[in-house]
Amino acid sequence: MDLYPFFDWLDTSLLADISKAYGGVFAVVQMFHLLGMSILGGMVLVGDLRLLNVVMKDTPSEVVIENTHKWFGIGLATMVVSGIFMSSAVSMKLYYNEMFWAKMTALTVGVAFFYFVRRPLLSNSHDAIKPSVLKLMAVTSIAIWFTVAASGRWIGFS
Amino acid sequence: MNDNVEQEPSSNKYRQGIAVVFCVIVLTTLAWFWSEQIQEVIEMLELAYGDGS
Repeated sequence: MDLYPFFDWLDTSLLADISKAYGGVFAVVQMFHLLGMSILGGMVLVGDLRLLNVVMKDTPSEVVIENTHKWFGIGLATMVVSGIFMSSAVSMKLYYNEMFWAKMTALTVGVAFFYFVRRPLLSNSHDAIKPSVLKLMAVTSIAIWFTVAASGRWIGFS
Repeated sequence: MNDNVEQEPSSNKYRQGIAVVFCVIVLTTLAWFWSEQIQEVIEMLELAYGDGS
């Protein structure tokens, strides 16, 4: 599926006009992007490090995971909305950037993993899940979101 | 958490199986992806600064 028409449209959209013309608006939106990233990254680390028995050992992992789910969604939504705005400023550059597509692929895999694999499984009692599976999921989750963050930063240097 | 899997509902075992397959595929792909990126960076550094010999 070629997404060129979407990026071409985004490049000439009202969003692009605003993001290119008003540096202050871009900076504020970028701040929200970083805030969303911090929330999402924080929730991922707290939840996954709890599954690995590294942090919050006194609190049941079900409680920790349940409390991170809502804020994960808020962080993700903030990141996606602000990210679309930010990408409108350089949409054609991003379309031809290899690292941008690496980030988008990792993001898609991360969201699919969270909502279709991790969350359904962890909604059960964790006692019914093999500890090795819990740890494997935690390591995979951290690896995916590390890739999203690192490839996102790499965009600026490629 | 325990290792007693005999009493697990079949749906739970199925979900665990899916999770393991997904995780193995993703981790393998990420290992390949990052090894390619690191290899590329090493090649660029060698081009810029030589191989150190």
